[in-house]
Amino acid sequence: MMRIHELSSRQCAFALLDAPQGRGRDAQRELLYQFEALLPQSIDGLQVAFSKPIEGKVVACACDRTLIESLRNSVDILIPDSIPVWLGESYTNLQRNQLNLLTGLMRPVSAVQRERLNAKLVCFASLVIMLLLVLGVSRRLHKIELQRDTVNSQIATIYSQVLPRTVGAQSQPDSVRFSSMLNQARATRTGTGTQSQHDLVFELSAIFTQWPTTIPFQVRSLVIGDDSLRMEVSVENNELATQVIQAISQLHGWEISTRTTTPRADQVDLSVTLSRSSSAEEAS
Amino acid sequence: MNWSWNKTALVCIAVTAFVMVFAIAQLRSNQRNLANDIARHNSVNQQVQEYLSLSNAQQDTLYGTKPQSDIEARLVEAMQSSQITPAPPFQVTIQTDREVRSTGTHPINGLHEQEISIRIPGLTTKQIGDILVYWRDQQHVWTPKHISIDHDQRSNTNRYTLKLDCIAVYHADGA
Repeated sequence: MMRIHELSSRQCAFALLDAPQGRGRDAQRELLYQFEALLPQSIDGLQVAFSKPIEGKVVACACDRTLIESLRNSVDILIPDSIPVWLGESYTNLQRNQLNLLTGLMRPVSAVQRERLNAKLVCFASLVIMLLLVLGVSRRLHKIELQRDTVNSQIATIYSQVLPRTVGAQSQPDSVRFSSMLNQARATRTGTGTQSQHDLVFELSAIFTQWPTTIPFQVRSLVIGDDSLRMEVSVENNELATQVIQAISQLHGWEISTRTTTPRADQVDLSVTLSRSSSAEEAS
Repeated sequence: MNWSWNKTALVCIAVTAFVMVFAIAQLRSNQRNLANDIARHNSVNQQVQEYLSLSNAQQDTLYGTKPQSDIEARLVEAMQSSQITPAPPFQVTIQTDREVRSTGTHPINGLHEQEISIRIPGLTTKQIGDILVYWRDQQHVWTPKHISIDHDQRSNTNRYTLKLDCIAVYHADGA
C-alpha cells in the first residue's frame, strides 16, 4: 500500500520548461540549468521533479529539502496537490502525478530500508551459495581424488603383476620399466623370424621312429635339409644293402632319388639321397 | 550506509562469482586428471595384455645381444638341459648376415638375418636326440636349416658329430 501525500502547491515552485534535446542525465542536466535560471534561490537546497514532455514542454516543480526531509519518513510518494493554472490548462493530473518529489537522495525512508534489506539478503544469499559451493566442490574434489587414488592403485597393481620385484631404491618409475620390457617383447616377437619351411627336428624324429632297427648297419653320415635327406651307411654285404634300401624306401614322406652302392673288401658302402615325396610336399 | 550495503552486496556477489569460477575450474581440472588416469589405466591394461600375449609367444628375434654370444649361451643351456657332462668343445662359425626384407626388396626396421654353423663332436645318439628336442622346444630364435650327423669313424665308441646350420633374425642396432 503506497502512502501518497499531496503537498500544498503554494510550498512549491513551478515552471514550464522547454523539453530537453538530450536524453537521460543530459536531459536532466539541461532541465536543471533551465529551471535554476528561473528560481529565486540556489537549486542545491531544493528537491526538484519534472514531468514527462508534453507538446514540447516539461512541467518543473521544486520544494525545499528540509520540508521534504521531514516527510520522507512517513510517505512513499510526495506530489503537489495541484498545478498552477497559469502554466496552462493542458497540464492536468497526469502531469501532477509525475511530479514525485521523493526521488534520488530524497527517496522515501521505507524504500531505502527495503533496498538495504535487499542488499543484506543478497549478501547472505551470496555467502550461503559460496559456502554450499565450497562444501559441494570440496566433497566432489575429495571423491575425485579417491577415485584417482583407486585408479592409480589399480595401475600399480597391474604393473606389479608383470614387473619383476626390485630390491633397494628404484630410480626408474614403473611405467618406464614396463615400457622398456614391452618394447623388448615387441622387438623380440616381430613375427618376421626366419622360419624354415620344414621342421627338420620333427622330421628327423619321424624318420628315426621308422628306423629299420632289425637290420645291422652302420650310419656314417645323415644330412637333412629343406629339400633332401642324404644317408651314407655301411653294411656287411649286398643282401643287407638291399634290405636297407628297401627299408629306407618306405620312409613316409620321402622317396629315393639317387642311390649308390660301393662294394669294399669287408663291407658295402651305400649312399642314398631322398627327396620329399610329392604327397608330403602337398601336405606341408 | 545504504551505499555501503549495496557495495557489500556487490563485493559478496563478486567474491561468490570468483569462488564459483575458481571451484568450477578446479573441479574440471580434477575431472580431466581423473579422465587421464582412467585413460592411462585402460592403456596400461591393454599394454599389459599385449605384453602377456607377447610373453606367451615364442621369441623369434634376437635383441640386445650379439648373435654369436647368444648362440653360445644357448648351446651351453642345451647341453646342461640334456645333462651332457662334461660338455664337449663346440665350434660356432658365423656365416652370412643380411637385411631382412619384407617383399624381397624393402628392409624391415633394421632387422638382419644371421646364419651360424654349430659343430658339436663326440655325442651319442641319445645326446643328439636330447639336444635336438630341447632346441626345437626352447630355442625358437635359432631355426635349424640343415642338420648333419656324422659318425666319428676314428673312435670306437660310436660317437657322432652333430652339425647344425641355424638362422636367426636379430636387431642389428640392438645387438
